[in-house]
Amino acid sequence: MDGLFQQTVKGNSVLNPFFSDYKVPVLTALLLVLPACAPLVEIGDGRLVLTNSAAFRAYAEEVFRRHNMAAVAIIDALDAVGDESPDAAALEQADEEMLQACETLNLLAIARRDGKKVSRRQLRAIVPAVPRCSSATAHAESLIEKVGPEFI
Amino acid sequence: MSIRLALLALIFLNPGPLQAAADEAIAEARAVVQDLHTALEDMAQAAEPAIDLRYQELAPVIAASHDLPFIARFVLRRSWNSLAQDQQEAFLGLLERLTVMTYANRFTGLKPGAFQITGASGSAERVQVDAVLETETRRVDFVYTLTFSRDRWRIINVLADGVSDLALRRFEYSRIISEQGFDALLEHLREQTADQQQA
Repeated sequence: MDGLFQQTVKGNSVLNPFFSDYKVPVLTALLLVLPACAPLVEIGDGRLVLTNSAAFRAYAEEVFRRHNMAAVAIIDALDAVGDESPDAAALEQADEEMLQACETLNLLAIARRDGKKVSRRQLRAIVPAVPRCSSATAHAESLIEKVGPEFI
Repeated sequence: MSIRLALLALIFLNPGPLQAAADEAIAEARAVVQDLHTALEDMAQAAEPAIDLRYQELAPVIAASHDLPFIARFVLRRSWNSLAQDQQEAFLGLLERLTVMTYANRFTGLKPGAFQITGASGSAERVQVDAVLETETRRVDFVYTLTFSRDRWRIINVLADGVSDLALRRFEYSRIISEQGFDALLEHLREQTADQQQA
């Protein structure tokens, strides 16, 4: 399994100066090594899927990308409303909660960017982390959209 | 009709000046991205093996095309205002060095025309430039966001295949600061730069 992971990472030379090559989905390559005896997990559309399935990998990838976009958009929204706005505190809190909820996904993405090894424990942690990140991202997105749909 | 309403009516009835400003902004922003692409292709063509020389070649291009002070404030948003000026300057200096070194390391072996700008849109305040990089083995879609800063249009964010590394770095750096402190972040940047230099 480690061999597969190593090969996957090294097989994707990095091109983007800011700063990585994301042509191959950011998390999907890593999640290929989730254990086969995986439990069922509910994904975004309500389906129950195996954690080692392509459907779960696609779900994790989609959640990561939504979070990644929201993490930029929320700063744009905060800059737009200004520190004194009543919306600012709610946005700050949503940002903090989203960063906490999405920590595992971000750590895996950073590991992939830097070509670092990921432990099985880290990989297993992603199963509960994805729906958590999805929920926090959805909350942040709703607040950002309230400030201005152009930010999201 | 109030003056404000009259002005709004004028703008809607005659969007020419606004559109002209946006068109000018888009053209200027597009030129900034084109200059960056040309510099990267030229660097790759020169086949200069020493990364330090590629670094020297690219440093002024990156400084001109990117709003690195904005990017520094963006990624350290939560901590930026609590840092002393010399800390902010130290971070900015290391971020700039890492950015240039990463460009110098990553973009090798490109053919002329490998980058193509595929579109641009936006307003007089913010412009998005779409581009694609095609090599023999892969295609990467880029989306640059630029704003007008310090007398010219500058890049403030780059999406590669829909992912912003800026967002990732915001998480990464704020985590290092909160868990290990600001000095550890500076050391982290030095290590990342050294990794790029040796890669």
